[in-house]
Parts: sequence; structure tokens; C-alpha cells
Amino acid sequence: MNPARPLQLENIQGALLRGYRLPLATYLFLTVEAPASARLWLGEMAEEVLTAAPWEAKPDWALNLYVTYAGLGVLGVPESALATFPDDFRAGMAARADLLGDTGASAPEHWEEGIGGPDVHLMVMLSGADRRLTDERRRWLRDSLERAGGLGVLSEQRGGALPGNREHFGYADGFSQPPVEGFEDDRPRPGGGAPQKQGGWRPIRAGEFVLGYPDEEGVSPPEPAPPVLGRDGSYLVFRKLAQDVVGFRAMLDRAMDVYPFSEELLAAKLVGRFRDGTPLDRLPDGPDPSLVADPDRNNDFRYADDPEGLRCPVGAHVRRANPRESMPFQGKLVNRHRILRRGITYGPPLPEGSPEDGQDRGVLFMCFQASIKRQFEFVQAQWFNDGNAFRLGDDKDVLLGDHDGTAKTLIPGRPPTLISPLSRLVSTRGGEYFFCPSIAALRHLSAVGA
Amino acid sequence: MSNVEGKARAITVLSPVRPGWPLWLHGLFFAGTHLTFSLKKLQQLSFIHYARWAIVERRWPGGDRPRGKRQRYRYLLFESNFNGSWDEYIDAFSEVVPTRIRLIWGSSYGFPGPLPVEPFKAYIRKNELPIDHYYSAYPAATTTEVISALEVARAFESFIARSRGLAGADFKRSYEDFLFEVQHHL
Amino acid sequence: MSDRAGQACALTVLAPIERGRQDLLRTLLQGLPTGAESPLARAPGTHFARWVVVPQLVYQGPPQKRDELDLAYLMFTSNFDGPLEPYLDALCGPMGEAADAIWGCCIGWPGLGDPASAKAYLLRNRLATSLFVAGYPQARLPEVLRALELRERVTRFAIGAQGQGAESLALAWRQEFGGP
Repeated sequence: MNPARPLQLENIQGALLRGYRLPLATYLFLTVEAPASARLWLGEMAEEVLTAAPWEAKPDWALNLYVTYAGLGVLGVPESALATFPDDFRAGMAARADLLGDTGASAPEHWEEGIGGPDVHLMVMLSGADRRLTDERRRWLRDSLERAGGLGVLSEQRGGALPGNREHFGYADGFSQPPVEGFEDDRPRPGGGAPQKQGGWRPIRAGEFVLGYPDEEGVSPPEPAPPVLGRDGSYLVFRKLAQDVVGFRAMLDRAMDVYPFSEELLAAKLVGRFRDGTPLDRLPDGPDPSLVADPDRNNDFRYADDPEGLRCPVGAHVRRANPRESMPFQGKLVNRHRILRRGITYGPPLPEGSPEDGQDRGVLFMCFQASIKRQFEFVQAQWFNDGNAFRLGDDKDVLLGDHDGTAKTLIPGRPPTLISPLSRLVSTRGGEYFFCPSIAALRHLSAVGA
Repeated sequence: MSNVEGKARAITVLSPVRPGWPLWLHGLFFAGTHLTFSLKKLQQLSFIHYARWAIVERRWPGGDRPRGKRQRYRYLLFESNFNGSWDEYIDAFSEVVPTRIRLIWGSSYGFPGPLPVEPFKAYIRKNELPIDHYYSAYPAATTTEVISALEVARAFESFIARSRGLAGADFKRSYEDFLFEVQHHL
Repeated sequence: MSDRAGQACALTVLAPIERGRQDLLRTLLQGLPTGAESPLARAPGTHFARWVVVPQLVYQGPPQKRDELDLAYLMFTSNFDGPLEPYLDALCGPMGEAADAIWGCCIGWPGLGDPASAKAYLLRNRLATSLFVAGYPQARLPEVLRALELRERVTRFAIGAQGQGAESLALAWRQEFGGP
């Protein structure tokens, strides 16, 4: 099934549709001090943005640009257009803290400066293949900001992939992304999309991620006005998530007092994949490197014949993130809650067995979706910070849950294993909601009011 | 917000029924009650404590006054106690039981159809009544938690009965059977 | 008529509000304590209940013709353990001053001082035809509350009992749940 009109790839920012898999990234959070100069700079940078148009050779660096609601206003977008943007984006992430479980240590009052809030107007993402090139591009970017004037750098966040593409708790990541209909879908890999009745998989409708295209309901949802501003755009959620690696290892250690099998299997039961990426639903007994290395197999599972979660627990992290056929009604309760993840780890790895070193480490989480509320916020609030959708009462995700010290998780089995209490392992250090404008929208913004 | 009590959420919707349709609704309710045709999917959705559709006749109840004004139309009243967000609830109704939604609300003026969901949500919002006082006897428990708790209670009684007089390893084995049976309900 | 599913019952009452007393009624309702202190908690067997003021009917636009109420209405809905008559007896008994003040804003309310008439009033003003869906139709309220508490206790016990030997397990069970 093809979308009503083909994806305008030259107009869509590349990061939205493609995971670059470049190992380094720098994020500059900017405030607009002089709108006229900022608009000029934006116009200049719009021509440097990497689009989703097909590559001949993979680029070794990429630039992408995002704007907050406050930023749109400061750049001169009129009130009548601002009013057409959705409530969630307008409110900004800090205002949604209760919904997202950003409470206690993760509450906005403890957030780092300069990642979100009303002064953050623009964010530039620079991705690079190696240190030398990334540093050189970063200098070029900073020079351009100086030349332009009128823009201040509020903060800079730097990310870098860990060896083996693992994240800090030790799990290999990045196996599952929803393929977008109409984008390179001549050979979508099994597992990322929507499971079909006859056993195959189909891509997710483009409108779930890109504004101006039909979504899983078959209609094009309302876009911000004017069309040049809204069309081919998307919304970006950015969150700096700090990981308590020592806490996680201690939790595993304590749980081994009551878990009868190996720590490797326990670690797998909490997430739904062994740490090398082998999915539990396919191979419940142990990791299999050859399966992990095969993109046609490493994501091909659906939970359909394991409703009790005896292979992959129903509350395991990846099963919560994408329940596939765990939910009844053939995906109707899942397909409209998918997100495209584009984040990167940050901070140095902590070697196994090391004590707490006080270093900040975690993930610079990024995801794209057409509706922040229905996609990111829904998954966060209903699937990670609650268990009712899975008949797990108020059991939260072990990794992401805003645990208050009384929570439990249960690993099904004979006998089942109960892990309690659980403490918060991932804390929010800051974040914001951004609009990801199309190239035409960026040009429009650079000339607004002219 | 008055329509929230712990995890329980209340919704009340009143809509005018087009003339000629109430007979259909009566029939539908009769069929629904006696043939349970419409109820299974709703129960599978598992976040509804109780839901009810009722018809308000053209003469509204009089209190104690002499029979007064007759309204032009009959009205369909829908009220429900559920868990999760309002958006999720309406989404699920639309996506999972659109035919049933159409059968019931199709007879009301202004109903735009169950899908796509945004116009249906706007219709519900327009006709939704804010709740002035809401009570739940167990606000901390969702529907699935109640159902799970009832399962645990049943299995518990069964375990107590069969483990009476057991000791040592036999008791432990019986306990483990019990735990295995209820693990998905804890 | 179906306002029953299993042993679960539903009741909806619509009563006209005395002209000019709508605002007072709203204030009274919004000032009521919620949770266990709610007057609705006093009617045994009530799972969920609500009071809703219907100020006016909503016009949908053409082809519907305008249809207006000449008085505002108070709607009361309850989901409770049947049967109906004993529930109404219980509702009109100990519901108390707060509820009496609320119903007292409605035309013709005889007052809780005359419970038989109060019950008759509610019966007379109730809606009949309905389709009723219940998530757990067989469970009466005391059973639900007991089960919820038991589930908590079993979970806590199971967490602590992990890894225990047979003897200490049996002992711990008896300590928590009693028995031979």
C-alpha cells in the first residue's frame, strides 16, 4: 500500500527518517537574542541540513535543526499560526512532568540548565563519523554562530556510541525501529513494523511520524498552519537520561539471591533480550550471536504464542515498548503508539565491578512522532510507568519506572521470581519538546515577517 | 477534576436520538442483554468497570410535579467507569468496536461515525457532562486488578483446603503450585 | 429491561431541580468529601456512583430542531450489589444530611425523614431500558474489598518467602494467614 502522495524526501530532515549510525553527536541548545540575525543564520544553516533524500555514499557528518514552541514565537511566527500547534508541544516537557513520571529526583526543579525551558529556542544536532571530523564541524558551527551574532549557546550535550553499540547497563540496542511506509520499503526487515495476520510484517503508515501524510487511521491528521511550516515536519522529544549503573548491577546482584538461574538470563528477563540482543521470545534459553547478526531474524518475533510471558515476561522492557501481538485486536491498540528512536549514549562506560565513580553517564534519548501525546507520552505513561495495559496492575518497567521504593516486578516461572523493592535506575536530567521543520519550513522561518 | 477518583475515571454523555430510532435501540439493548453479542469485545478491553447505555423517554421524570413539557426527542445516556486516559478509552472504542459504536450512536443527531477518531472525540467532548460528585469504593484498584484479586482469592481458598494437614516438603510443593497458579495475578 | 449483569445492578435517577437552586446544588455537590467520607459510601454495596447536574440539552445543529429543558435536572447513577429494593432501603436510610440537602434541591423530594416516600421517589424517577456491561458481574463489594486486600498480602508474603526452606515457609505462612 503506498501513501497518497510520495514522501517528499528532499524536504524532510534526514534524522527523522534515518538512523545515521554515526558514532559521535553534539547537541547545541541555542537561545535567540536578536531575531533578525538568528533568522539569517537559520536560513544559512537550512542549506546545510542533511535531508532524507537517498545517499550515494553514506555521509560522514550530518546537521539537523529543531525549534521549540518558544523558538517559533521568538523567530516571528504569528500568533494565528502558533495557535495551530498541538497542546503537548506548546506546553513543553517540564509542564508534563507528572504525566511522564518526572518526579522526585527526576523532577524539573532538579534538571540541568539549558536543555529545556522557555529560553531554549533552537537545537542543532551535529553527527560525525570520527573525533577529528566532528570537532572540525563543531568549530565551523560555532564560528557561524559567532559571525551571525544574536544567538547564545545555553548548553552543549555530547554523545558517543559505546563499543558494540551497547548502552550503559550493557545491553546492545537499536534492533527494532518501525519501518516507515513509502521509505526504502522494498525490503523491510521482519519485526519492526506491524504484525500481519498471515504472518508477515508491514511498515507503519508515514503519517504516524511525518506530518502531511495518512496515518494508521487512514487520514492525514491536522497539521500546523501554514502548510509550508507544518508539512513534512515532525515532533522531536529530547531527554537526557542519566543511568545508575552501579544501582542496576546491585539490583541484579540482590535479585540473584532469589533467582534460580543465571545472571545472564535474569538480565534478559528484565529487558526481553539477552545483553547481546538475542530476543527472548525467539530463543528463551541463551544468546545466539549468529541470530543477533542476522537482521532478518534478530527482530522477527511477536509474542503471540506466549501470552503468559513464560519466555519473555509481559513486563519486560522491550515488550512494554512495543507489545506487538501481546495485545488483542491485531495491533489496533499498538500501531498508533510507535516512535522512531534516534538517541545516543553519553558519558564513559563503567567497567564491570567498578564502584561508583561520580561520572555522569546515560542516554541522550531522542524520538520522532507525529503526536507527542499519543505516541511518546502514551508509551511513557501507560506502558512504562504503569502495568495496567498488560494486566500487571501498577508494576512499572524495571529500567525506566519512577519507582518509589515499594514497587515490585515478577518474572513468571515455576516458581516465579519477585524482585522488590525497586529503586529508580534512570533519572531525567532535562529535556524538551521540539518541532522538526522541513527544509521549506526552515527557509520559511528564516524569512518570517519579511 | 471531579471525574477522577484514584484510578477510576467517569464519563457521562447525553445525545438526542433521531425519531424512529428508539425502537432500534430498544431492540439492540434487548439483543445485547440476552444474546451477549456486543459484550465480549468490550470485556476484553478490560478497562471498563461498569458501562451502561439507557434511553431517556420524551417526558423526563417529573419529580413530583404534574406532567409538564414533553421533549422533542428521546435521549441516549451513556455512562461508564473505566481506567486509563479519556483519549485511550475513546480510541479503543473507536478502533476495536466501531460497528457496535455505530449501531448505538448512529441513531443520535450529529454522530460523525466512529472513525476517524478525532471527529468522534470532538462529538463526545461536546456532549459530555462534567461530573459534580464521583464515588468509588476502591479507587486504587483498576478493573484488571479487581479481576486478578478475585482470582487470587479463589485460588487461595483452594490452596487452603488442599494444604490442610500438609507439612514440610508437601506443603512447600502445594504452595509452589498455588504461586504458579496466581503469578499472573499478583 | 436490563439493569443487571450477574448480580451487579445499575440505577439511574433523573430528578428536576427546583428553579433557582441549581447553583446551590452545584456548590453542595462540589463541596462533598470524596472517598470513604462521601455520603454515597454509606449505601452498602455501592461500587461506583455519581451525581451529575444536567443544566441543558446540547443542540447538535441541523437537521435537529432545538430541544430545551425547562428545568435543570440532577442525575444520580449507581453501580451496586443487587437486588434493587434492599439497596434503595439502605440508600434512603443512613445517607445522611448531606445527601438530604442535595436531593432537597429537587422538586417533590419528601426528605429522608420519610424513608419510604424517599425510596418511592427514587423508584418513580428512574430510567428503565438499558444495556449494561460489567467487568466482574459476579463479585459483590465485600468480596472485592477482601480480595484486593488478600492479593496485597499474598504478594508481600511471596516476596519475603522466596528462598525459604520448607519448615520456615510453613511457619511463616501460618503466622501470616493462620491455619492448622
